[in-house]
Parts: sequence; structure tokens; C-alpha cells
Amino acid sequence: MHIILNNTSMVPIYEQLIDQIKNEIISGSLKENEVLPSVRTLSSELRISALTVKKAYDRLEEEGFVVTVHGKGTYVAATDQKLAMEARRKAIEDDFAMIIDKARAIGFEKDEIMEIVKIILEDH
Amino acid sequence: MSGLIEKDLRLTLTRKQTLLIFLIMAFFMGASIDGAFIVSYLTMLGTIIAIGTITYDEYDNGYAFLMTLPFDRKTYVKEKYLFSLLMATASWIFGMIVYVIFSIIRHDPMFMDNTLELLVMLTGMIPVVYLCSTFMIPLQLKYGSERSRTVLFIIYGIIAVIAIGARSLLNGVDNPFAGLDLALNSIPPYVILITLFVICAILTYVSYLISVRIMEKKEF
Amino acid sequence: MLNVEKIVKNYGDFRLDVSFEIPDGTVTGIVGKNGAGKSTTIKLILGLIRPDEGHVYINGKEASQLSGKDKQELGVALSESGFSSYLCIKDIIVILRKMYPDFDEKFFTDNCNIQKLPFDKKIKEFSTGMRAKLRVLVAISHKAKLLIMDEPTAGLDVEARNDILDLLRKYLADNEDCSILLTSHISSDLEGLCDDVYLLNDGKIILHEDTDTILSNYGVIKVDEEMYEKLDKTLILSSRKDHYGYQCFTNDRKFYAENYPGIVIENGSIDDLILMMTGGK
Repeated sequence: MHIILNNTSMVPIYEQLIDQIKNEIISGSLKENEVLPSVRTLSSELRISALTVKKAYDRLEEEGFVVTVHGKGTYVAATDQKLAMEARRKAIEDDFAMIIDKARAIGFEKDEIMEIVKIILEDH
Repeated sequence: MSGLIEKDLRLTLTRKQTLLIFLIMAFFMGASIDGAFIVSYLTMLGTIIAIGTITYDEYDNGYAFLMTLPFDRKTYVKEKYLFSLLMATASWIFGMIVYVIFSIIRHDPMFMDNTLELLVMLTGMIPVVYLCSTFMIPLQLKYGSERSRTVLFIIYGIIAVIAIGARSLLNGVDNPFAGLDLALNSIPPYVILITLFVICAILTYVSYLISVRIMEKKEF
Repeated sequence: MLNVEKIVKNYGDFRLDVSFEIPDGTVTGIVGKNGAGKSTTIKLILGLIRPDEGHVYINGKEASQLSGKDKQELGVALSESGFSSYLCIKDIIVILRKMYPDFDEKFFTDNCNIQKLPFDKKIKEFSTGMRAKLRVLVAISHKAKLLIMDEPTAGLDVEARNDILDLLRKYLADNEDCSILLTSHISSDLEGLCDDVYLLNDGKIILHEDTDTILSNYGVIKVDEEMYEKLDKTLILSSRKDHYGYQCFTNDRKFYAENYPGIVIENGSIDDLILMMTGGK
């Protein structure tokens, strides 16, 4: 597992952790039934509090990415490709929503926003 | 308990130079002074060294950490009494060996004629010297090594003043203790010995109870 | 694991009055400035001093009544007290072996070697860093269920501090159900280690929060005077006047980021917490 946390980012550490583990699962570098490091092991490796890791694992479990077997550990759940795609789509939507909010706050209209998006899309 | 004894033993052994000087002195005393002085001297030294471990314990804030180790305060006190008894006995045995060897070399008539009686008498040294620790341990625990020394001097001073005062008072009057003196001489030595041990045991127990109370009240 | 119920201790003008709880398997930090009462709290928990009021329970037993056996479950490192400095590590190994049935001699000697602590030298001759490492190693070498550490990293350079924190992290990873209570006035020590933090100031707990929440929700807002007047202050915990305007400490930086676009907000840290919540003004 390759996790790089940015302590100065506005994104909370546990969210960064969730996103990166999700990506590893979706990309397939973490395989089905593979065991994740224990909460304390990961917290020790990343030098973050165990509670942060636990929060991230709990969230991942809620979202169906991992399964925790009490006393045994946390495993990568059977990846439902559709579910995974949905999660990624939701994340992208959230990001767009944030940008649009920002744009609206400084008075951009729908057309102007669409214009910006078009220009950027053409550039890429 | 065994951990505490180990600690005190190792603390005592860190004073290698002091111990060596004592041993050399013991050797010369044994060689030069007649009689059993060497035995009482060494027993006394052993006891004082044992009590000295309390000074090491309190030095440099040591008590705070020491008291977090796995024993209760009662056990700590118990160990001090036990350790000073062990030290007194060990140094008594050592003193006896030195004394016996030199007496045989010297063909000391006093030793040769009354060997058994002397040995019995010298056994009485242990409780007598040990009484000193039953006195010192609570003082050390209560006042710490610095202040307990002052307190001890004051107590010795008071005892001396009382003794001198009593003597000058009794001067001229018939000594009321003369009869007691005579009576003591007629008692067989082993009875005195046993009495000594019993008195010592009782006083040690009282002293132990006081020390426990002092220790339980202490804050670190 | 540990319950501190309304303990009060008076020292002249100073009055310590705290309550808190450390559940099984948590790492809790007590932060505060020097003189806030951190060491006094630790000493009360260890039964080294007696509270004027209240109780401390360790695994349901009153702290001052702990037996030798109960104390085997504790691993303690104090900031200014340890084994007699006349002893050397060799002596300490034998003493620990006799004190703790669970003493892991191999773990202890291996780690002394890793930390380059000499076995034959008297502790008296150790550097500050070496002493601190030894104190922590002594505390973690007998599989204690609860570690209590008073300023384990005080006065150390960055490297020695990291060594000690890594030792503690490793211990946590290897002993999943153990708990730690530690005090510190250095925030970075606590941010990567503690699950929650109590802020102690002048003998009182003025804040209790999960470290994670502090790092992800708290923040320092920097505004000029004009902006400060306009700012909704319901989620501001404390403000300080600065040369450019105001610094405001909030427990909901997201709210301000969303409602005041372009506002300068820095992520909160435990340092900010101490500074902003216990500062002079």
C-alpha cells in the first residue's frame, strides 16, 4: 500500500486516507480478500493517530470497500465494479459542485461557467 | 522484594572503593587491636552501609520513579529492615572470621580459654547493633538523609545530657543500679542472649510499624 | 482502564481540579504550558501524591491502593526521576528481571543496542537523550497494559524525540490493546500519536478533543480589523489581536472557508490550540 499524506492540505487526513485506499482498491493494486494493515500498524507507519485510521476504516466499511472481521483484521471486500465506479463518479461530482459554488460566489453565470469548462476541455 | 534486595545489593556494590577501604581497615584492626572490637566495628559498618541505600533511593528525586515499580510501600519498608539485617549478619560473620583467625594466630589466652562463651556473647552483637537500624530507618524515612543526621545528633546530645545529669545527681548517693549489675552477672549468658533477641525483635516490630506509617503518609 | 474522578489538589494558590477517562486501547495526551498541572496530575494518578478530594481508579482499583501485582501492568516513565544514576544498564536488567515476571530481556537489550546505550556505564554519565531513551525502554519492556509517561521527550533534540516516539508507536502496534497517557508541551509529539488530547490550563481542563478533529476541523483565521468586525463569531473559540489585524481560532474551519471565500485559514495544530486557548490575552 502506498499512501502519501499531506499535512498542510485543507483536506482532512482521514479523508485523504479514505481516498487513497479507495484508489488502490479501484485500481486493483489492493486485491479482493487482501488484508489491510492493522489500525495501529498503519497509524505507526503513517505517524498519525490510531483513531484517524479507525475512522477511515469504518468509513470504508460503510461504503462497502472493506470488511472487518472482529479479532482478525480488515479485508478488501469483493469489489463491485459498478459500486466502485459510482463512488468515483460521486467524488468527481463533489469536486465539480465545489468549483461551481466558488464560481457562483464571485458572480459567474451558468453560461460563463460552461464556457470555462469548454475551454479547459479543449486545452487538455 | 527480591528485586528490591537486588537493587540495594547493587547500589552497595557501586561503592567499591568505600568497601575496599573498610576491608583494609578491618584487616589492620584485626591484626593490631586485641579483643572483639573488630566484630562490633564491622557489624556496625554493615548496618550503616545498608541504611545508606535509603540515601541513594531519595537522591536525585529517585523515590518518585521507585514507587511506581511493582511493590507497595509496605514492602519497601520491609525490605529495608531485611536488607540491613542481612548486611549486619553478613558483616558480623566476616568480622567473626577475621577475629577468630587473628585470635588463633595470636594465641589470645582470653579467646582460647573461653571460646564458646565468647562466641555466644558476640552473637549478642547482632541484635545490639541492629537496634541502631531500628532507630535509624524511621528517622531516615521521615527526615531524609540530611536532616536525619541532625536529628540523630540532637537525640544523642539529649541522651548524653541525661546520662551526665543522672550521674552527677546520683554521685555520692549509693548507686541504685549496683544491685541490678550484680543480678545481671548471675544470669547465665544464653538467657541474656535470648532476652536481647526478644527485646530487639519487639523494638524492630514497633519501629517497622512506625516506618510503614511514615512511608504511607509520604508524598513524592 | 483509567478513571480520574474529580481529583482536587491544592498547593498554596494553585488548585488542580480535573476529571477524565482513558478507555482501553486509547492513547491520550495531556497538553498545557509549564506549570499547568500536568506533572501533578500524573503523580496523582500514580498515587505518588494523594488528592485532597476525588479518586483515581486504575482498572477499577484506587491508585494509592495498588498492589505490587497491579503495578506490573503499568509502565511508567517520569521526566525527572528514574533508577539511581549510580547503577548501569547491566544492573537494571537484573533488577527488572526480578521485579517483572513478564520482563522481555531480549526486547530490552536489543533496543538498548539499537539506541546505542552502553551497558557498563553508570547512568550518571549518560546524556539527556540517552537517559530519556532508557526511561522509556524500561517502561515498555514488560508488556504493560497502561503506559504513563510524563514529558517523555522534554529537552530532547528532534532526532532523539523521533526515536522515542517511534519506540512508542512500535509498542502500540505490537500491543494492540494497550493504552498510553502522556503529557507534553510539544505538539508534534502528540499529533502523530494521541487519539485524543486534554488541554490543561492553570489546573483545569479547558478542552477535550480528538486529535483527528483538531487537525481536520480546527483552524486559525487571519483577518484585518474590517473583516473581523463582519465575521460571524459563533464558531470562534478565541481571538488575538495581531499587527495585521486578528487571529481567530475556530473549531469549524470549513464553515468559514465556505461562507467567507478568499479568507485566509490555516490548518489548526495542537500548538495553535495551546497558544490560542491559553495565551496571555
